[in-house]
Amino acid sequence: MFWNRKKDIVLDCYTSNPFAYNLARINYGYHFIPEWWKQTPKIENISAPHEMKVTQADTIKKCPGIVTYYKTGIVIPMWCELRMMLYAKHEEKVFDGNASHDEIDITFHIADQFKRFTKEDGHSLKILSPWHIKCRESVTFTMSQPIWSQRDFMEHLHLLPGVLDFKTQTSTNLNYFIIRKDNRVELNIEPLTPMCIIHPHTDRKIVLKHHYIHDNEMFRKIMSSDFAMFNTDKNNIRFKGQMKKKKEFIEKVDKMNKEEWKV
Amino acid sequence: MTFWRKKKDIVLDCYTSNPFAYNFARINYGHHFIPEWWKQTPKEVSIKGIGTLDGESATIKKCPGLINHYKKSIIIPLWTELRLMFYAKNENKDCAYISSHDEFSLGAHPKEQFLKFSGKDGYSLKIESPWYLRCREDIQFTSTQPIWNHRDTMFHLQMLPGTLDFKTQTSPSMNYFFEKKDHRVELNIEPLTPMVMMHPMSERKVVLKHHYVDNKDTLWKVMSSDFAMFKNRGHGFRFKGQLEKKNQMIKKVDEMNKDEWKF
Repeated sequence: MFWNRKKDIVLDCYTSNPFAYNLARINYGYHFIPEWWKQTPKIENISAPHEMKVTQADTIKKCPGIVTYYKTGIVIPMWCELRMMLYAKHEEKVFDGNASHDEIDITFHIADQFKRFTKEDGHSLKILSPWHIKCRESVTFTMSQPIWSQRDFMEHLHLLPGVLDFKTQTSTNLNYFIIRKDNRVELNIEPLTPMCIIHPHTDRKIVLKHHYIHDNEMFRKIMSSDFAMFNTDKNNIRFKGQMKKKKEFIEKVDKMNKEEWKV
Repeated sequence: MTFWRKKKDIVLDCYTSNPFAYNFARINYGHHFIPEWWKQTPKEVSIKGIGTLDGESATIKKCPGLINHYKKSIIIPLWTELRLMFYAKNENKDCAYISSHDEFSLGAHPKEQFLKFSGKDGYSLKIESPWYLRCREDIQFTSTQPIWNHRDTMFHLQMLPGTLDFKTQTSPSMNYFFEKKDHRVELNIEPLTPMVMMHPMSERKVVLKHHYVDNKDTLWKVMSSDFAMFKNRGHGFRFKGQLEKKNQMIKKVDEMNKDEWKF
């Protein structure tokens, strides 16, 4: 009898950031199961309000939903300590970041790009991920916020979720969303805090391969939108039909070149 | 001549005895719930006077991440209009609600069940789903908050994400979380607002089948934890090894009975 085992899906994860590569790799979710969850007992005494009796109940430690959420996910952890200031409504600035090293970039999408969502007080806060992922297969992934690991700042900082593929693009940028409040808000994000969790739309096993790239400039070019293989107009907007052309292009490339990319 | 073997669809049987959910607000494919604000957003906007960004810029209307997030998902929409009140820190009560009909109920997990996450001011808010889901296959689904539809509520009410299967249990968890503030917070959630978004961890197509069940009590019994086929120690506590026994039982049941369930 021949057993046809399902083929693994390989995600090649490239970075030129030494902090991300050495100290905070994109990794399997089970490494990031929260400490508070591990420390929670399996059973706890529960006192019902307005009743004198105390009963016992299972705790979240027995909830398969949360532990499977981590075990089936891929996590991008924070690669520095990051202190953020979200300024108040009446202030000119929107936010500031102060990191433990300079290998982190924070930018934003202008409100006009999604004005009907931002409304008056909403702002994008985009943390440029050091990781670019390449997958030769057209598998999609859900990117969501691992809020079980973000109790202290989840109220102020929301990851905008999405479904991505890593065949036709390589970016894993972290698009967060904030609203300005009447007062300033200060947040501190510790290194290795899970910043996003990615779940594949497949039951096949995911294998991560980590690659360190020395030539940062060339790396940025190759991993840029459309792999820098097509021209865009003066505003960096694609010409009509270009997205389709890019997909056909990468399909052909993946058929012809089965090796890891070199930069 | 080659034979093309099409991948088998995943069937998700969706049972409810709630006439509002069945007739007006069915669990459905995500493409039905793409936000109106997104549809109204133009594809490009003019940007003036923001440094090098002066000119035309693509908007979120061109973001494949958002549209695929919906197209690849299954959504449970709200089956009532819901007004929620979160009391202030200095008040005794936690939460109150008004719904447009009485086929809706809210519950809560006691804080003791997840005290290390909830902290002093965090509370569970559990929306009792009118839907029970049943899948004969062991497929995992991520369950996350459709925050692109929650612009007005997302900073006060956050869904606790997880990964579920509908072979060994039938409940699509709708566990939300809120934190008491210095002042009261009032939210209004309109009918058909997406409340849960699920993505299958499979490359196969998911087919939804909706079933209306007249016999509410029987549905509730059969779909309860462990399908009411095992005794427990009281207060929902399983005997040791019971979870494993349940999983073996349902595997055997699914091998023997290929018909839809009746109530």
